Amino acid sequence: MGKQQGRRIDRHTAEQVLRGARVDAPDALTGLLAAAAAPPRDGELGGERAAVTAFREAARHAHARRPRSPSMIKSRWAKLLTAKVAAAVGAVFVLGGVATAAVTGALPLPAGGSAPAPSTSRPAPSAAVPPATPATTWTRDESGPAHPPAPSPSLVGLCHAYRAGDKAEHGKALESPAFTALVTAAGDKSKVDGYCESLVEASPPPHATGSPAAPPSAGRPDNGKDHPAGPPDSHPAGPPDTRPTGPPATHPTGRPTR
Amino acid sequence: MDGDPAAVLGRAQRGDEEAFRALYRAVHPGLCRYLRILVGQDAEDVASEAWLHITRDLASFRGDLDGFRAWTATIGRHRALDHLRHQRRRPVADAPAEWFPDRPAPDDTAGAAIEAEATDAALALIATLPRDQAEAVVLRAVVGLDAKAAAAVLGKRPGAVRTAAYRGLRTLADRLGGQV
Repeated sequence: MGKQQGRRIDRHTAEQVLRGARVDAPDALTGLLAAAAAPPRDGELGGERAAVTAFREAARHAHARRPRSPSMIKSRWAKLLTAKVAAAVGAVFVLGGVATAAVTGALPLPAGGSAPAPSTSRPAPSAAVPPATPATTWTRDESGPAHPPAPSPSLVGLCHAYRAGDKAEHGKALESPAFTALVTAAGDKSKVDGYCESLVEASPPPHATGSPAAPPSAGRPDNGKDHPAGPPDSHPAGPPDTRPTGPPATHPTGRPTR
Repeated sequence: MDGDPAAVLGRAQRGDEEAFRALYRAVHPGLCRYLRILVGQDAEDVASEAWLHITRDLASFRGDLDGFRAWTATIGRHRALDHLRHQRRRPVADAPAEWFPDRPAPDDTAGAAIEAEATDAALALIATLPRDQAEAVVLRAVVGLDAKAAAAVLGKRPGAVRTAAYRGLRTLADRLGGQV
């Protein structure tokens, strides 16, 4: 498949690949990154409603109090990356516009801003909590939030991803959150190999069911609507201590999608 | 839809809801995919928490859209690490699909689903890398940050991030090469 299977990419090529440049890199690798950076699907914007609610709340509070200046912001951020390619950013917005049409068409929003604010508590795993967003439903065809993905296809998928990995790395791979479900299903890390073997052999060829798009977890209804601005114990984003002062690199931001 | 991105950011910061929506749509998918590397399927929830923080401090943010992406990634990362600390014991069930770059679509209607699966599978495969490598790869190739901005998010030096991303890509290329 790859033009250069067996040849390792060098640092320069890696850098080009990361910038989305078309380079002489293995097709599978560039394909993988392109897939990872593919345009958003509707399901990926499921939290928009909650975010907009939070935005409104924050705007309301801003009238009451002066916004404190967060310590995380440094003016040098302003200098950062100013010359990045505007066209690429524009492309992102175009994609966003497409998604917008899809999402807004499906999402009449309450005009009064009275929707419950999103939770600030630790959520339950979203597969177990269908987002009972009042009144509005997500037009996300039949795989709506009421149907958490059936476990078996995804486990089969996990097994494929796991077995695709380097055997020597399997132990480490299983520490990844992505494989937790697999380890859980197998019972133990040491049993994953055997489990996958039997599972993959027992299962029919993969098809497009069990789409892993998670149910949109917007608008978790399970708690109050006050203090949307105060997630407890928030101490995110102390100022990044490395200083991005140099000249911006010239790679386009929105990765060109192919 | 909303013209120049810088203007959109500025309008959102001044309270324009439509501009904020545009901003969210431009930034959230990349942010969420990045968070999936860290917290698997809890990414949407962690992203929601991050957006609470982002909306709260949006008015005080100074910078352009790329700076904003990096800023949101930093916030999201801190939320994700908090989340991991609190949720260690809870199993994280992710649902990626297999990565079959050459698999033909069974039919047209399945095409979109397969594309979606490809994204999930790609992220799942990237997530099998050591975390520093996975983060470096996704911040650069998916979120679209350059090495310096990614380094700022990760609290590392740009050189270290370049190296981590390079190693990650090399490992990915090896795995993909061995798969087919």
